[in-house]
Order: sequence, then structure tokens, then C-alpha cells
Amino acid sequence: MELLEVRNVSKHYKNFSLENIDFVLPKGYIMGYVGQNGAGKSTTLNLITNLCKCSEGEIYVDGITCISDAIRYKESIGYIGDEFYYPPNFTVRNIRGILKNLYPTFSVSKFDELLREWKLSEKMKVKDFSRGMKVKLMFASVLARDTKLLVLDEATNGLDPVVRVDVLKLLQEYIADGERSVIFSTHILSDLEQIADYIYFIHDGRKVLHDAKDELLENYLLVKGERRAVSPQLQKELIGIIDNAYGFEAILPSERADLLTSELHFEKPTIDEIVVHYIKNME
Amino acid sequence: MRAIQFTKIDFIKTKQQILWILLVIPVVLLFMLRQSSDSPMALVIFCYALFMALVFSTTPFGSCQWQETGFLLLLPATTRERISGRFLYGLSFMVIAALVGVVGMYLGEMISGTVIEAEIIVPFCMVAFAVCMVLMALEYVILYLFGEQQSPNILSLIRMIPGFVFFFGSMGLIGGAQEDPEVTAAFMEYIGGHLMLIGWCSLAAAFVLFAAAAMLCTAVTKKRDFG
Amino acid sequence: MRIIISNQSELPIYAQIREQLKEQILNGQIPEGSTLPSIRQLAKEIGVSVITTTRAYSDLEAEGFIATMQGKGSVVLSKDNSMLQEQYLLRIEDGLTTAIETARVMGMPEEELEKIFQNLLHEMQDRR
Repeated sequence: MELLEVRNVSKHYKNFSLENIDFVLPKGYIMGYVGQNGAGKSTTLNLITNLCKCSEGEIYVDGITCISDAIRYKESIGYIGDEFYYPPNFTVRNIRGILKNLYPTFSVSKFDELLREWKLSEKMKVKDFSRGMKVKLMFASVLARDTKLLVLDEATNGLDPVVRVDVLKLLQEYIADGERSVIFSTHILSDLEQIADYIYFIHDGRKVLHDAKDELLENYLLVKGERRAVSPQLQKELIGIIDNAYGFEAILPSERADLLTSELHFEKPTIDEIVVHYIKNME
Repeated sequence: MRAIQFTKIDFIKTKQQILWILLVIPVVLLFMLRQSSDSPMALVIFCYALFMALVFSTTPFGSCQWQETGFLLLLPATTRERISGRFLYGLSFMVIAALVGVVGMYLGEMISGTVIEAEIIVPFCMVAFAVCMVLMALEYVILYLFGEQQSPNILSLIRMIPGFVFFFGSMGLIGGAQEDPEVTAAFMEYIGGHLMLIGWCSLAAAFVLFAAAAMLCTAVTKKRDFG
Repeated sequence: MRIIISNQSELPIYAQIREQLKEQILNGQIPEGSTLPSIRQLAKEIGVSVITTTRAYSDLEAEGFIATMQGKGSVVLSKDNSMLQEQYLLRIEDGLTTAIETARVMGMPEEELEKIFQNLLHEMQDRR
């Protein structure tokens, strides 16, 4: 059962366009939306949250589009951005009041419980919060109500490692019942890589790779060695060769491992490494 | 009733300014009382309160940073509800200012001892309120035409002009009426018994224009894209 | 039950989970008939993706170590099912093969190897 369906979505701006993004995210899974700054990650997420309207294509969240039922669509999404979005002179109390009145499923007791757990003061203005506290407040306001899809736009940027680990746990708890899903965008994947089920990688507004993370990791090898050890046949298969003074590094599809000689070193890559070499390949 | 929530958000966002407006009025009042006692104090005070409302009712546009606008857009409500909320904010802001103005008027009359008959002052206030509403609607339409995120840049310009036009315009009218008593008297005689009617009519017309402006803004914003 | 994920390991994460569970089932640390944590629970606990643990479990299922029943979770199967027997046999053969190969490398006669084997058996019996 799909929770998020992005169907042939395009978005055209004067100097940038997002072309034909098409994927589904089943219930109970986490997708990492990866790419460089300016690749179109935020644009895609803004289309999903309906901050922007698609030029072409449709987006379904839990089976409904924003056109068929805008209110329910918005209610089913929880959004956490890299920038804090509550007005700076709001207090936690103000936010609670507004959310309680606008979201039928908002639970004050759940919200208060999270605030207590994370030691967020009710009386402080949110502009005096630290970055970590702001992220936690956004999480509290989203987790205190019924949502189906969590959209995180670079939400872990600038967080200290301890809070990042907390966020990972939160996301895993969120999807634990198998009914809800998470899509997050990031340009530094390392910390979120472990928990992501699927990876969607875009560059310059277009899809580059899309697969289950485990598949991606298995489908590629990171090859290192000297250029002279590379046969012409292997040369053709290598993706994104990066040279340095003493050798090179590149990605190779695992099925062509037969082309490797004992002179070359190979190991399993990280998603970041796959991404780096793919981007290098496209330049 | 989701629109009310947006009104509430605007009020929380701008509450410092509201306090400020409430504080400034008595100060100005005192200042004016000392200046002269023969000008129609009460009317000046009322107009001044409305002038402040006109200027400050656009503050929510100014504090709309990119991500804050995003927050408003993410809330589960339609564009119409969101914009109605903003218009409702402007209207309630002006009602508050008018109430402060009325209190000021009474104070002014008490201190200066000059009492203007209710038959004249009530319709005058109604017309002034109506004119302010139309001006405010105009401001909002311009701000929405430029877009919710662009508005901070042009806000400082837009927020001042209609307010000043209104304040100095009405001051000029009051002054003119005093300078040329014959014309005023003739005019008054002409509209004589219909003062209240004029008051009501202008208020009604203002409400219609106000609502129309809100609808226009909704239509414009619906087509717009964020970001 | 104990699972340690290593980023340095050459094995992918799902294989690390699979191997560690297999090891513990074979040496009896996870007794037969016991229920393993659910796929989602395990993923949450060790901080890996759901697909990763799903894959580890389905591998274990295919090899006959566990059976997953709807609503009941994954249960460790008894050791006398044929697939497991085969796994055990493989392990025994593996161990003996290494012994034989080592003996060959150092040129040990077969009789001596057999003697060592017999001695070890006796020793083990005595210890019991």
C-alpha cells in the first residue's frame, strides 16, 4: 500500500526546472531524498506539502490529492524545515493554542508530554530557543497530532550529534507501526543513511538513481588503485573517476567485478560515495 | 471559523504594536490639549486614532518572513480563510482604534469643555471610519498584489501613504469647514436631516468594498505560487 | 539476543544481522520455539532500516531457521527440521574439511589425524 505517490511531476521556473519526478513510498518506510544544494530537493518537498503547485503531474498522500481535499491533505502531512517557521515572538503556549484550534487531532496532553520530556519552557519566546530546541519544538507540534507523512527538509542541519541521534530514534518510532512514512531531504547523508529504506537521488532537477538503499549499496563497488591497472574495458564501466596524484577512485557496478584485477583495491561504498562519483560522472 | 485563528495569529504577532498604539494616544492627546482649545479636538483625536490604525494594520505583512508565510500556508485552511483572517484582523484593529478614539473624544470634551452635538459627531465618525476601511482595503489589495513574501520591502511605503492622505485630508476638511462657515452651513443645510443616513450609507458601502477587496485578494493569491 | 553492527565489516548490514542470529540459534543462545523481535522493532532498536531487517529475516526463513507467522511474529524453528539438519551437517563438514586440509599441508598421515579425532572425542566424553 502506497502512502506517497509522486506521479510524473514537473515544475518549471525561469531558470530551473524539475523534470518528471516519479516515485512511490509505501506505508511504513523512510525515503532519503538526496542531491546537491540547488538540485531541486526543496522544490520537490514544497510540491509535496503543496506550498507550490505542480506544473505537471499529481501527488497523492494516503490516496488523496490536494485538489480533491486540501484540508485533509494538509492535515495528514507533518513538515519540519531547516528553518524555524513559527513567528519569533510566539511562545510555546501561543503555538499550542493555534494548533489545538486548527487541527482536530491535536492532542494537548501529548504535546505537553513531549515538551516536558525535552525540557522546553512554555513561557519562553521561541526566538530565544537554541537550534536544537527549535527542531524539537517543531517535532513536538507535528508528533502531537495524527499525521501520515513526515516531510523533513534538511531538518538535521546544524544539529549536534546527540540531537541527531534523538531525531533518528523519533523517525524510527514514527514508522514503527507500519502505517506512516517519512521522506527527508539532505545533502549530508551519513547520519540518516542507516535508517533510510529507499534513496532517491536527483541532480539538476532530474532523477539519477532510485532504489532500495541496500540494493544500491550492493550494486556498486568503490574501486581504488592506479590508473595504469585499469583495462580499457574496465575504463568504460567505471563511473565518476576522481584522480589524485597517486591513483584514482571510482564506482563500479558490482556485476562488472569480473573486470577487476588483483592490483586494484575495492570495497563497499557509502551512499555518499556513490553520490559523489555519480555527480562527478555528470560534470 | 478557521479564519479567526489566522486573525489570532496576526494579533499575537503584532501585540507589541497594539500596546504601543494604546500608549501613544493618551500622550498625543495631552500634547494636543495644551496647544489650543478652540479647534474641534474630539474629531482630531478620533481621526488620529484611525490614522494610527491605518498605519499599523499592515504590520502582519511586514513580519512575514519567508518561512513564516510557509507556516501559514501549511496550516489546514483554504486561501479564502487565510485572507479573511487577515482582513478580519485589519477590521478588528480599526474597531479597537475607533474605541480608543471614542474614549479619547470623551476625554477631550471633558477637558476642553467644548461639546459637539452627537447628531454631527456620530455621522462624522461613521464616515471617517468608512473612509479608513476603504483605504485599508486598498492597502491590503496592493500588498497582496505584490505577494505575501514581497510585501516587507514595499510595506514601509504603502503603510504610510494612505494613512497620511486620510489624516491630512480630513484635517484639511475640518480646517476648511471652519474657514468658510457660510459654505459649510449651506452644505450642512443641504444634507441637513440626512446626516445619519449618510453615515450609514458610507459604512455600508465601505463594508461592501472591504469584502470585495478580500475576495479580490483571494482570487489573486490562489493563482500565485509560493517560493 | 545480541546484535552488533559494524561499519568496518565487509558484510552488508543485513548479512551481519543474519549471521549473528544464525550463530546464536545454532549454539543455542536463542532457544528453539522462542519468538524474535518483530522486523520493525528490531530495526528501531539497532537503528537500521526496515528493509535491512526484513531481508535478514527472510534469509533466515529461507534457510529454515525461523518461520514468520502473520500476527505471531518470527519463531525459531526446532533443530530437527530437515533444512536445519543440513545446515548443521554443512558446519560439521566445514570444520572437518579445514582439519583435513591443515593436516595435508603439514604432511600428516591420515592415521595420525584419525587418532587425534578419536582422542578429542574421548576427551570431550570424559569432560561430560
